[in-house]
Amino acid sequence: MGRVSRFGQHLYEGRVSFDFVGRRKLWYAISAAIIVVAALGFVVRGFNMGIEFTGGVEFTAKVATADDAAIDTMTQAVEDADVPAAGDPVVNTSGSDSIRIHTKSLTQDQASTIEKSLTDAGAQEVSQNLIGPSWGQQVATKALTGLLVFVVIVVLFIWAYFREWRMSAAAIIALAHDLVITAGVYAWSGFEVTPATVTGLLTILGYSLYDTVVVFDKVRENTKGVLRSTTRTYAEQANLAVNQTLVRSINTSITALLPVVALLVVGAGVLGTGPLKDLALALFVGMAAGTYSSICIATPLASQLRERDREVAAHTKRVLARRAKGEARGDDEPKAAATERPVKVSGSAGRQQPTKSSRSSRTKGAANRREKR
Amino acid sequence: MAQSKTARKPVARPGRTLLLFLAAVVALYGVLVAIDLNRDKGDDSAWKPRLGLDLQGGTRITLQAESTDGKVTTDKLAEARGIIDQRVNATGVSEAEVTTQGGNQVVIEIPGERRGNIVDQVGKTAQLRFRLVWAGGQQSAQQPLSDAEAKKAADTIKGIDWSKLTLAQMIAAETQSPSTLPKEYQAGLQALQKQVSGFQCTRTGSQIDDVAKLPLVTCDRQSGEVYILSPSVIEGSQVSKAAPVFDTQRSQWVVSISMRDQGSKAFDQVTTALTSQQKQFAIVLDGDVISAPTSQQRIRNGESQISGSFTSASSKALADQLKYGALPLTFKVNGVSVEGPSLAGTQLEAGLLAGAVGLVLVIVYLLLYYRGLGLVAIGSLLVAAAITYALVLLLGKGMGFTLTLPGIAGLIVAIGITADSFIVYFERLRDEVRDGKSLRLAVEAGWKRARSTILAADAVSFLAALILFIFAIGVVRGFAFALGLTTLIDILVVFGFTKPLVTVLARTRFFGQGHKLSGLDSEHLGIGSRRVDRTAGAPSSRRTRGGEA
Repeated sequence: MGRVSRFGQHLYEGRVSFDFVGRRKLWYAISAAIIVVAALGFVVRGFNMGIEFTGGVEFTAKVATADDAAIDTMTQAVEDADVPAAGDPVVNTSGSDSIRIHTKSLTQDQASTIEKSLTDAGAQEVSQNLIGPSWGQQVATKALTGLLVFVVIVVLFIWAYFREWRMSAAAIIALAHDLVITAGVYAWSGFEVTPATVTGLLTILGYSLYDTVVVFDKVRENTKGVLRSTTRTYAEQANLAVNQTLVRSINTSITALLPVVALLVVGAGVLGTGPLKDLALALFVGMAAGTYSSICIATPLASQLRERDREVAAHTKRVLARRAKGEARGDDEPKAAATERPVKVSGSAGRQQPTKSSRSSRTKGAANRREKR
Repeated sequence: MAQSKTARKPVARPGRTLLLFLAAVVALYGVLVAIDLNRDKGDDSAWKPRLGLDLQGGTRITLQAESTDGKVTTDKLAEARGIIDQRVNATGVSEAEVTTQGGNQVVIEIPGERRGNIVDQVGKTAQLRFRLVWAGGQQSAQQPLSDAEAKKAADTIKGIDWSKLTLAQMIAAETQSPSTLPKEYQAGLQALQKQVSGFQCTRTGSQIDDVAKLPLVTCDRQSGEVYILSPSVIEGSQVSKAAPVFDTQRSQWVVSISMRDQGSKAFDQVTTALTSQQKQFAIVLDGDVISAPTSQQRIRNGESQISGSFTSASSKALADQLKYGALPLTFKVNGVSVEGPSLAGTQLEAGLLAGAVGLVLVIVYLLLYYRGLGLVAIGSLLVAAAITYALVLLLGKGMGFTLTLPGIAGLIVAIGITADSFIVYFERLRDEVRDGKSLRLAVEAGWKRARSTILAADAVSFLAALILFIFAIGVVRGFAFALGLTTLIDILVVFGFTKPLVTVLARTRFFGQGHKLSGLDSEHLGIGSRRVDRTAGAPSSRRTRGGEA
């Protein structure tokens, strides 16, 4: 782990740097490709809606061992119940000792008849879940309302916190990105969409933004006062922030994903299909996408929007011009200027800022520091 | 530098904060112990969380309200909830919980019992109405109408706007003759006659569609008498009280009814007109005539009595129907879920297992990565878990909060969010050390930065949980509640436990001087040979800070 820490130190100082902001076209292209594939999934495959959305009855029969023979027995039992309204029941195993049976909408009486028939056929215990057709519609409407309210409130919150509408915009785009990708995974994989999935999806909202806020906080800190100096551009400072929070992002993702993986494995392994699995799966995909989008989409986008600002654009030009001049003369000029200037420390900037001149001078700088100690 | 000055200022007694915090946690458990000691026998132990139906087995029935006039108000829903609650209890089910949800639903939860069949008794779209009897005394028909004829008659009746009729006109149709109705209604009356001619009255026939605005052909299933009834003159929701009373003078059971203002006015007009001719009105529950009493006297104040050959039981049954039948809303069955106890047990075990596995995985990772500091994180996670457990128990007692499977999932997901607050802080702390600060200074400076990040991030997370809680329906709310609760606990723990603990630990030799296993040693941080208990040399420090501020 020591190596990871040193890696963190190098990232922090800018000795090792991944160009997240500069190579934004690459990230945009990757994301665009994934989103197109995801969107294609909506059109081509559609979603496999659970009975909570379509209406119907789900029976869960506990049996000794859930195997093909048990499936046949239970299918036969549904037929024996002689309830034509049940339609063609979908029967499959769930976990090691449960059989799940889906039928069309039934009345309570019809459901009881089938339940009795299942018990007669050897099911030890039958759970049933009868869902009216309007239920799913409501869940969906509520979720959509929640989504809209959430987005509005969060846009306002981020704007108020960062005093920067561009960050709000970037955060929301990153959020949409995560949701589309998660939905795309559902479309392509054919996993069942249940209210638990919708819950997972809504939770991703919170998580995705949570992650973005942490990265943006660092961006704000690093770019504070950047316009008053001419050593680094806004984009470079933003990129440094992403790199500096990279270790945190990785650690956070791992610690957030570990419990979700536990949920997923236990949910799918012990219970088979059910709310645990549905929830964990949506969370897993969404959190992974959320980490990626905070780093590769939200920050480059916020930085790009900011660079359109005339002030920032002029500053970037100045910095680059100055740097070109410095490199032409082949000296360490920008760095020297920076170090010898009286230092003005704002509340958050009393920290080392990595240099971004030529690579050779940078290592020299680091070496210098060590010698002096 | 301003930064360093504030950092150097002695911190406000971290040890005391820590003690206060731990005392608060102990107090929380003290309350639980007190509850446990004082509980009545038979109550659940204070140490067992209230489990949702999905974890202990039981029946959940979701009814969706549909108002006849299109508006489902909170008041109406609350009233309906109360009535349904009484009905559920009347069926002999104990511990049933009836709650409203999402502004238009009533949820009945019956723990531990398989009572899916109860939906027939309580979820019935019971609608009580008072109607005038336009024609009675008919017998059940031998042959039903053909489908085409039935449809034609029904369409004719529906095609007429009966709501234009005044109460006086409707009364005249009974006291004189239906033919006194204006001629545009005569076709409707013929259609009603047609329906009577094919009306079969059976004990267990299908339900009759009872629409308030339309006249109705129906029967008394006990006597088999078929009636043509006027559109509704008084809605059941106008009944404020109904009770079985023993009339000592006549020594018989009667049912006394009280009407609300509007109902009692209409009742006055109806009884005034009907009494002189000893005519009947009909009380219709869900399309069935439950009673067709003859009006004996004018009722001015809405206080009336229905007499007949009632027994104690039948008078109570009618009073209950009048009272509980007075639902202001109609309900549709939206969902019935019956969870068997052993499947529910499996779900509980799986949820706990997932939680344990998730926690262990996170703990192992934190230890590997942060070493000694990882212990702080683990301590914080365990404290957070202890607080969460205590609050789940207390909220279960105080607010009836039940732990559901999605709720457990929310708690598990929250492990990640709680751990993240430490990660944000620790990474900041390490950044400060890398910047050349001594550990003691870094603890404070890093905290200042991390604090706002943690608060902002937790605020977003809490907002998400809150909105999810407000807009979600069903078990999803349990998830949102758990998530919101743990976000708040996270803030408490970070401020009251993690930060003071790190400050205290930074003063110890082990952490403060960067022992190899503390996670704060020079090598682990990658800061070369500098000792972590020293600030970096002044020139170098100045130099490295000489970035662009």
